[in-house]
Amino acid sequence: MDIYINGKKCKAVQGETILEIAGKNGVRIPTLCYHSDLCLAGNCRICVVDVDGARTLQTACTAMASNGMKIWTNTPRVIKARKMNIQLLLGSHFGECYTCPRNNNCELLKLAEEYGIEELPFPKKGKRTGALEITPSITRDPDKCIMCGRCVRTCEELQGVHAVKPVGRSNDIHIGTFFNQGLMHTSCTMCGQCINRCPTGALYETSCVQPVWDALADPDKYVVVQTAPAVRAALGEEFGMEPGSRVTGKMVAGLRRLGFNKVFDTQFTADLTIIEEGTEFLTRLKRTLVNKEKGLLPMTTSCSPGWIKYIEHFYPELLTHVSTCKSPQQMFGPLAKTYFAEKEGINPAKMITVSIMPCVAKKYEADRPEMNASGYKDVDYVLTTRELAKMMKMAGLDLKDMPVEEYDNPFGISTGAAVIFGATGGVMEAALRTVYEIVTGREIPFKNLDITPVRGMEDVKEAGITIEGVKEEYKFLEGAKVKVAVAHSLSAAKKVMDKVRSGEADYHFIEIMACPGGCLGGGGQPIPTSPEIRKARARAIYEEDEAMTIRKSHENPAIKKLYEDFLEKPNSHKAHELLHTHYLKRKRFDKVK
Amino acid sequence: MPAAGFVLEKRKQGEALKKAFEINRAEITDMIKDSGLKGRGGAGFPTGLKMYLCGAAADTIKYVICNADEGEPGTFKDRVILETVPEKVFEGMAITAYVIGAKEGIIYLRGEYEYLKAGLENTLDGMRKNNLLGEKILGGNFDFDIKIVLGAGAYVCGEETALIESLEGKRGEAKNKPPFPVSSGLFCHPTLVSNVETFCNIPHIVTEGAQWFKNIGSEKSAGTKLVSVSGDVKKPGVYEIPFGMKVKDLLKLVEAGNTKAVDIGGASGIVIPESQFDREISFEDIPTGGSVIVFDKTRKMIDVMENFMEFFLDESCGQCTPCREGTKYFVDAVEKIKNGRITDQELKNLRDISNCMKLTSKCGLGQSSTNAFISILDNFKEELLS
Amino acid sequence: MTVSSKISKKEIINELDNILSKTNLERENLLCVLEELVRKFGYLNDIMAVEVGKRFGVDPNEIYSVASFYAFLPVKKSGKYKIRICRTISCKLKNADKIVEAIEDEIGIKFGGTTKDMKFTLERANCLGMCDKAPAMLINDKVYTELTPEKAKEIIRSYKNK
Ligand SMILES: Cc1cc2nc3c(=O)[nH]c(=O)nc-3n(C[C@H](O)[C@H](O)[C@H](O)COP(=O)(O)O)c2cc1C
Ligand code: SF4
Ligand code: SF4
Ligand code: SF4
Ligand code: SF4
Ligand code: FES
Ligand code: FES
Repeated sequence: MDIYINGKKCKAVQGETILEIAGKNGVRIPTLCYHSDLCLAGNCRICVVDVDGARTLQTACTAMASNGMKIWTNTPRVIKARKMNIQLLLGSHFGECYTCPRNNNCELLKLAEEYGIEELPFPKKGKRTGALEITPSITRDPDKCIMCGRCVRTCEELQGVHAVKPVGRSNDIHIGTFFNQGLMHTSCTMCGQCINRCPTGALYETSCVQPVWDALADPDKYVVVQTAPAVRAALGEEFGMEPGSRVTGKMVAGLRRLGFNKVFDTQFTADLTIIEEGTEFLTRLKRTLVNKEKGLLPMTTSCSPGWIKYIEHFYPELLTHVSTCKSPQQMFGPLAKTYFAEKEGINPAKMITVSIMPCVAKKYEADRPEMNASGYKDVDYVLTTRELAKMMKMAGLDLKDMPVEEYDNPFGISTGAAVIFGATGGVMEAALRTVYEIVTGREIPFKNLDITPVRGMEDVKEAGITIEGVKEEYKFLEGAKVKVAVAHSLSAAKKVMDKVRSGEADYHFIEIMACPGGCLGGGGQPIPTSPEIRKARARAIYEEDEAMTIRKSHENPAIKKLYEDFLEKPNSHKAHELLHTHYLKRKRFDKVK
Repeated sequence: MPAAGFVLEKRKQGEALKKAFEINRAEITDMIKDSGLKGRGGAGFPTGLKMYLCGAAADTIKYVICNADEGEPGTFKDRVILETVPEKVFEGMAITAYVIGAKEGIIYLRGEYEYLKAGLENTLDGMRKNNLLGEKILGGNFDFDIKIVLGAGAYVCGEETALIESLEGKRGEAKNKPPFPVSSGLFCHPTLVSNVETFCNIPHIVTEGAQWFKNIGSEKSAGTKLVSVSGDVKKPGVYEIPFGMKVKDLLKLVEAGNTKAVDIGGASGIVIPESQFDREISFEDIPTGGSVIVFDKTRKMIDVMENFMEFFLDESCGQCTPCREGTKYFVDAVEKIKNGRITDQELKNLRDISNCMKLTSKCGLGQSSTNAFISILDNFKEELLS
Repeated sequence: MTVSSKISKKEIINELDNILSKTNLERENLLCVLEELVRKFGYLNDIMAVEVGKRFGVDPNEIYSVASFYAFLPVKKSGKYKIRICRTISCKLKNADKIVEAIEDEIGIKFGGTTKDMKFTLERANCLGMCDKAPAMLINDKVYTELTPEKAKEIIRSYKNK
């Protein structure tokens, strides 16, 4: 069918919204409560347009096109109404842009600028309360909330957690937690997906920037940094580069200029995770198939701390299924403060380990009391991709101008298998590349080692691989079809785990990432996020894998050396002490008697 | 004027339903269309057209909902209908259900009227016994039953989409329209929502015919209207008037004296001064869901303004920007007017906010919540700003 | 109805089982079940939200969010008898303010307050649909009209002994 936007004829399909059609035809309509990842709310009333024949203005984000519809997106009354709605929002918005974490990237501020807001119809009533809710990962600043409901929809639709909800009505309406008990007591997973979708500074990560500067400034401290795989596929966006720009070497150079004593790569411990987790998987397979033990399979991955907190709250009875391997971040910490410290003769008490993560749940993870295998806090500070960009900007460093540099040794050597940890399906692919080869002595039979069935953005992916021609010690696996599943976002995790709980699922191995797209869509990544942006980041990650000379974790020479020098063998006693962990059965609402 | 005064009269139960079964569905729809019956809940949408649209929607499950959330300040006529002739409302619902192909009816009764519930249940039981509800009604092959659901204290739930949300066990927040309930309503099934009084008219139209109905009232507003009259009058109560009655005639009827102003349509309606008492109550002039509140000359209009603006501050659902945020400014403005401190510029800004609310609010609440403010401001400027 | 500052989980579960023996677990019955709980306990607390949520398969926080929308589903401690005095214009014209004063005087609390013994909560309500018999008030589901300060006090007194 045809519709007319500002007099111009446009093609439209039944069920398309005015906003979608306008977008395809290069007509910009401002939005605020709309988000491409979420269902429609239509509550901010910013996207209003004139439609011939309609008494009131229509919201472009929700109104479906109908044949012959005539739409005007910029009439004086449209502009006036939008401007007024922006003013009304600003009228009860209490924040100061110059102290706001979102001051260079705020949708509200951008709209205020776009619509030339110079004053408000009435002076603001009330003032900032400054009542922040601070958790190890997330800070909520309700004074800046404009009630767009994007966090609510994120937490409900994408994550199935329901930690935040609209509470009250009318004048009293606000975003709240269960009986006002706070995020820390109501099973928020700390995934930070709500942060990525908040248009304002009402939600942001609890910052560690200052303590990291302090550590860097302290001549007594030896500060090492690790960078997660997904950071390199997104950091560029903070410096105006296109989504999907690969900036690994430039990032390393930037970190060095910030003054870190060593710049290491979490990918090193990602490779290590594959060895430990792959070995654990084979053990679980054997105990299940040979010894007929129960509750060991399917095994799920454990590298996503948002996922860990989710299963602790929502499926505590299934915790035996979770791999005991720590996440790569938490494997790195104790190794830095033991193996590396010993090797270099550094007093671990004086060592500070910082990690750069695409994630805010990692902050919570680092703070978990059991994460002190080295005898110290294993990971001292976690910075998000966004915080790293902030530090570089403070230091006057523009990523675009950085030279390309290499990571330091020994924790700078990694493989293609490690980089794909950053994308959904990546851990599974990396694990399969290694496990298959351990068991059969041959490479996994996929062209170019690309295990495409576990790649892509479908929320749950499944694959099966028949194992044939096994080595003597894996006889019990001959002819077995190993079934795997990959889920990203917690609502997808729920789908899979419900099947596991009911016994309907016959998977052996499940990869779960709390965030859509995997870590590349993590709660600490550059804002905005959208399906397209995440696809671009995924492309960067797979290109990075392609470009690596070694693409299988078990071939990482530094890992081999680590076992020879220090850990002895996979799943050894020492490995267990440093690299494995345990989980906590948590209640949904720990304050409810 | 033809005989007004049938809506609250008892009539033989089941007569209209029986007649409806004798004619085909399309004919009944046409009959209601031809009668010119428009919704009595306030918006005045043609009921026949609503029936047609809902009837035409392809679905095996459909619902008929009677909106008895009556929350508009000054409105109590639905209460009186439900106290005196509930069986006619239920019969109207049954006829509607028969026409559109629904098997389930719901009456959404405001929580404040909980004390009516037992009586209504009794009436329903009686009708079931008489085979006017339930399975195989009147021996035919039409099944239909009605259940009563209580609201929980939220004016906005009178808005049909909010009402549906509430029936689904959710927050009573209005939804974006389209889709309208006739195509996607309760649990996404086609749903016909009408006011208590609207349903109560249907049995009469079916038995007496469209033309009979059209003869009552004014050109574009067929039939009668129940108005709830309160305030400074000797005889407050519910009156059935033919559409087109002048305000001053109504005032005579209810024995109002020394009248200064009349609010028509409640908090979301308008307030008119004596100079406009010649105006008519009808869809072409001043429509009302049923509220008429009379103020005599001892009253201060600023108090009326204040009361209504505070009402919306309580009752906005709070989801959309213009209504949630806009409402606050009008409460403040009243305070300023009271203190004699409002400026012309501020009044202009308030009109801008009001326009924005009218044009961009998600539902009728926000679209009409400044009506009273603006009309009082326009009509009683001297008193207010002196 | 048993209102006390502590409601045990056992009491809640018993009552809930009792309510649910009469209705099914479709979401459309949620409000009705919450209304029943309020009738019994006077308000909704976190335990009730968790228990109702479990049975309906609805997230407890969603239940909290829904309840908090409605004036008649209090999510904070509230008295056994909820006195709701109409504050809307027709009652106002008929001296509703005097009724408020009289009741405040009789039970010694202000609007929004609850008596120490958890017997009364005093709330403002919007139009109760009794404007022809203004001023009006509700006490739980009972409506009282054409009030005078004396009449209002008497009514309250009759509840004190209940
Ligand atoms: C805020 C608001 C409150 C409303 N309250 C009621 C009400 O209490 N009763 C009613 O019948 N209609 C009410 N309506 C109108 C309904 O949305 C709807 O139009 C009506 O129930 C349709 O029935 P009718 O066509 O018979 O009038 C309200 C509308 C709005 C916007
Ligand atoms: S949220 Fe946006 S508008 Fe508000 S203080 Fe922060 S940057 Fe400024
Ligand atoms: S961090 Fe994740 S779980 Fe917590 S409120 Fe935000 S979206 Fe929900
Ligand atoms: S916290 Fe942010 S995302 Fe959530 S409603 Fe407020 S402004 Fe919107
Ligand atoms: S106009 Fe008011 S009541 Fe209606 S949806 Fe918007 S905020 Fe809610
Ligand atoms: S973007 Fe359309 S209403 Fe908010
Ligand atoms: S104004 Fe009080 S009952 Fe209507």
